[in-house]
Amino acid sequence: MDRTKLPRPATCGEVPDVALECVLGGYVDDPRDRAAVSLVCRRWYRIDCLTRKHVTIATCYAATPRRLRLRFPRLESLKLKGKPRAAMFNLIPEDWGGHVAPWIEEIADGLDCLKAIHLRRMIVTDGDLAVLVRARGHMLQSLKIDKCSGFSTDGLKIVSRSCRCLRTLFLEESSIAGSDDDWLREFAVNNSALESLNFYMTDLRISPQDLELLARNCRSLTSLKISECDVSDLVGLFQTAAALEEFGGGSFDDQREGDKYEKIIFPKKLCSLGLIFMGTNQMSMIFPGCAALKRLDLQYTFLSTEDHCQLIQRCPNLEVLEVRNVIGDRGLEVVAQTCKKLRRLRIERGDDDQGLEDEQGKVSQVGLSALALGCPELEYIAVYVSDITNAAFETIGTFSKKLCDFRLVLLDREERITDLPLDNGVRSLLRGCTNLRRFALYLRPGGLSDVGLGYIGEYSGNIQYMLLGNVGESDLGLLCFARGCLKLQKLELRSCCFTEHSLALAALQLPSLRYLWVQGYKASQTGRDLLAMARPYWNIEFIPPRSQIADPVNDDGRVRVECQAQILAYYSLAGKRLDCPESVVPLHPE
Amino acid sequence: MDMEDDTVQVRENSAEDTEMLELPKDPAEVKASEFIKGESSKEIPVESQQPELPENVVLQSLEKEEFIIKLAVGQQSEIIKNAILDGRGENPVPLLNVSAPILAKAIEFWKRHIDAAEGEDLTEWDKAFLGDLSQEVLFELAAAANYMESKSLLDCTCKFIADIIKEMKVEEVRDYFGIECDFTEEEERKMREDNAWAFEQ
Repeated sequence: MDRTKLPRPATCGEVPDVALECVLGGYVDDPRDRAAVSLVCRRWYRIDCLTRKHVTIATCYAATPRRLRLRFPRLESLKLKGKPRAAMFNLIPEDWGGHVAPWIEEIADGLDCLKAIHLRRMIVTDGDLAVLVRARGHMLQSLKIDKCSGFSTDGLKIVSRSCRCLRTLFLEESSIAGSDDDWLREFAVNNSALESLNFYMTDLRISPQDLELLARNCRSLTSLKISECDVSDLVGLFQTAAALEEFGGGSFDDQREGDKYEKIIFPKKLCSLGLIFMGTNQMSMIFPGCAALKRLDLQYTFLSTEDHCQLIQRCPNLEVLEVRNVIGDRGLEVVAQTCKKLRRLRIERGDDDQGLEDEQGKVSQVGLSALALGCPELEYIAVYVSDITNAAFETIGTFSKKLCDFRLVLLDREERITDLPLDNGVRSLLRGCTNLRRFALYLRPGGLSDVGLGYIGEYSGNIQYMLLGNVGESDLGLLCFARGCLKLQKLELRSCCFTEHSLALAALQLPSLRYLWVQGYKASQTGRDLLAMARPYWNIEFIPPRSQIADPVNDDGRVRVECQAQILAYYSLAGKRLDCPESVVPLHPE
Repeated sequence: MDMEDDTVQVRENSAEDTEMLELPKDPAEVKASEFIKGESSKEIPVESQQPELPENVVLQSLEKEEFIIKLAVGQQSEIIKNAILDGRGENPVPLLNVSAPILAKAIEFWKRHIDAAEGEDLTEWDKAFLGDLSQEVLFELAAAANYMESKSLLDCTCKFIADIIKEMKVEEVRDYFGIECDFTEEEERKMREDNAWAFEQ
């Protein structure tokens, strides 16, 4: 805003309350602006308290439910996050914490305007859902229980019976107990407002008839992501759900007769698609709709590198693409030539242990460089690579100017990496991509020297979140890094060589840091050296090394792995945690 | 008593009772019969107005100063629109919360917007128009737009003010609006912590 063209400041008279409420109530949404507004004076603070519509609490132990309610009594939308992100990789003890009960109590008691709630990585019980529904069910429009655990299909049924104006129900990746399948029927019968239903990546059982009933009753249903259910049983669903724009889930069975899948006709408006276990033989069924596709998820398909090339060249309008590294450099070259509107790209790692993956299924500097050159609209890149070079980083820094979020993991399959260390390349990328807010780099020993780590600190710009793995050579690198990173709020470190003492010093030095997680460092048995970072409002949790079941989902407990010690530290206005389980040791000075 | 029945009866009896020959011509009565029939007068599009609706509207400010404007111009405010179309004969329309200079500015805005060609982009004009106003007038205009329920004017003024506030630091906001900080140091520190550590958006 050109300051010289602004109206001259008032010399007398106050800004009318009504005008201020209108402005703040509807036209100032950016978190930084709201933070500034609330600090101007008491009157503006009060108006902010009454007009702020949404709050995100990034760590549920950072504030008390009471404090939230007292400050924002008219809150309409709340997002709460519980367990550290590492929980998604089975690294956090299941009983670590993140119970939603105290929050639900407070919501029921006083947040009378709340109509949207998003819980992520928290423990939610059927009882919690019952309390929530009793208090807010009649008004709830959006309920997202995202990667949570602790509830069952009974809880879902409670929701379905009372939340009749629910527009969004999101359950993706939650662990939900109970094997009955009538919960969906309850929704279909009680609700006609549903626009988006997502129980993708859950074990929930459903019947295709109930899906069809839901589609019949909820004429506004535009997004549906389901658990496994053979796609050939969904013919009726796709005929009924005329407004559907997004579909994910389903599954394919190669044993079924070939033509069963050919009868599938997807709804006309479908522009987002992700099909589980789709193989080469079934791929052609989606060809007719490819030109209209804006989002495509192939992460759980059985397609080869060649298949990816065949498919993607028919999708010129893709904006979001999610694949495994089987796409290969060749597939990325096709993306670069075809998908000029691409904004988000995720390349997950394939399950290489079973040798199922295509030999061409490797992503390297070749594919990434082509991508940067061909897709200038990219805002988000997350990729597992087999090889990488400084030049590729430089290319990204030069051409991917809109990049806000960049995450790269260097796989440890290949013995030799072309061009290490990556110090100069990383520096170029950070200097070039000035819009970066989130950055992750997971390498191997030798991947980034202490100098390189210092570069990250120096050129971090506005980056707020970082995950760094296997970077640096010594404590010196870490301390150099910590002299920079002025805007860094959340830091995750893994497999590094730093001592507890220097980790503590680094935490003290980073001016904006409010959350730190570390695993794989020179740990002591008790974590006492971490007390060097003890300060008011800073909660320190030490999770001692333990052995746990390697794969709780698929295993029966015979294979155990050693889980290394972890540090979790965060600012909290709620004081010390009172609900730590045995596996978590809070540290405070004597 | 159903007016419609009455008028029918009047016609039927007209041979016997010459005094009741004439159909009601008073605009107020016609509007009342519309009202009883149950049609929502708000849904009557401007083009198919009853001939009895005025071409011009008289608005009365706080100081009782009167402004005459075309009906179409005034309909950009729900309060004015409803006062006229509801057929309650409120002409002039009293806007006792709005002072004359502010009302004049609102009228200027509405006039320019109603005169706009199809698809004409008025963003630059809006910016220049609002940028010319003093801060005091700007805020009073926003408050008036809210009172008069004029969405276009409210949207425009509030967005303009919001754009001023955006990206300003706390001290800059205080400076610009001439506001003195009335928090204690302790209070301000606590709130900064709240904002930084607990509550984002």
